[in-house]
Amino acid sequence: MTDRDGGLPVEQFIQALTSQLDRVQSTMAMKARAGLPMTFAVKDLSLDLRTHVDMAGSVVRIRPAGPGDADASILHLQLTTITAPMIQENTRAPAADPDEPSLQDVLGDEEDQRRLEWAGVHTVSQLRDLEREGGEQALQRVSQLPVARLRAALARAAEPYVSRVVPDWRETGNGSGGDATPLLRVRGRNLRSESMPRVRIDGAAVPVIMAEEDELLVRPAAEQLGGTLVVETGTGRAAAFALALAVPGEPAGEQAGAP
Amino acid sequence: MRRALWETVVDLVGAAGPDDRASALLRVTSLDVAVPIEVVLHPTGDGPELLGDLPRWRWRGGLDEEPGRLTLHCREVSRDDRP
Repeated sequence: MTDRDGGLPVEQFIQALTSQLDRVQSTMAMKARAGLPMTFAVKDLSLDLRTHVDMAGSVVRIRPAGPGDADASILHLQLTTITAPMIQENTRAPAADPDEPSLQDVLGDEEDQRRLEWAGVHTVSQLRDLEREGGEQALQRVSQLPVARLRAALARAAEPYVSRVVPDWRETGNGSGGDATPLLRVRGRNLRSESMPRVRIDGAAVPVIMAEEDELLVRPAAEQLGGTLVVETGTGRAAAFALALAVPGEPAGEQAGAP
Repeated sequence: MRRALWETVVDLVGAAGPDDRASALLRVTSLDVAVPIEVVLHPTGDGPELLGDLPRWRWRGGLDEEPGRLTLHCREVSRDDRP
């Protein structure tokens, strides 16, 4: 099956097979568009292979049976075509939060990302949900990635991040704005854990009025509209943001950070 | 050199597919094919590619691997009903 054979994980084989069949359908569709009104479509396909099936930990590997090998297993794969509505029914929409890091960002490795995607995990939210529901061991079994790498990826995904800071004049007690110092809405992700986060601007504490996972409302002093804003969450993790808002009396707008 | 599996399948199905000469007379509306097949995974830069072709030799020697078996069920559809 492979030229240098130690066998390969069965899902890699199936992935390679389905990609070939997708190619069959797209090629035949292309021929149909160019030709006759009636055409053949492959409805079902089955493949019988003589193989040996090995288990290496949680990985099921197959390797081809050798010549005259009487004890080989028969791998019988049967595939059928499915329609777009069937795909939609059986596919979980990857609802990635726009502020969420990508799998590539938290894994740092394309191969690891591919393995997770084969397992149906396309977003960091899905990765977290799977870990929450089944624990690290289940996650390892599904993704075939070492626990240490998954743990590191989940830790990176849990780090606080500030994407932008927006001045909020409505909550200052002076509806018309005037010379009052605005409150600041600090937006991002993982901005609070079990306890209230601590916010500092150039080392000086800033009172936190409200804290949500994706937004903090803080009350800076007039001289704290510029400098390095640091959000420290209850877990001891911190995110920094270079703050440079306009001073009171001047037009102030939203400030976005680099992703 | 073995062909990619998709090429083999397209050739097999294409050989028996509808053509304009036969369209007014008897026509093939479905096709079941079962053929022996040699399957090899070939590593490429984009991941492994599945090569699948008919056996190269009609008579198998004692050192040749036993081929697998590929079964296809195809039926005639209109161009607009393709999957």
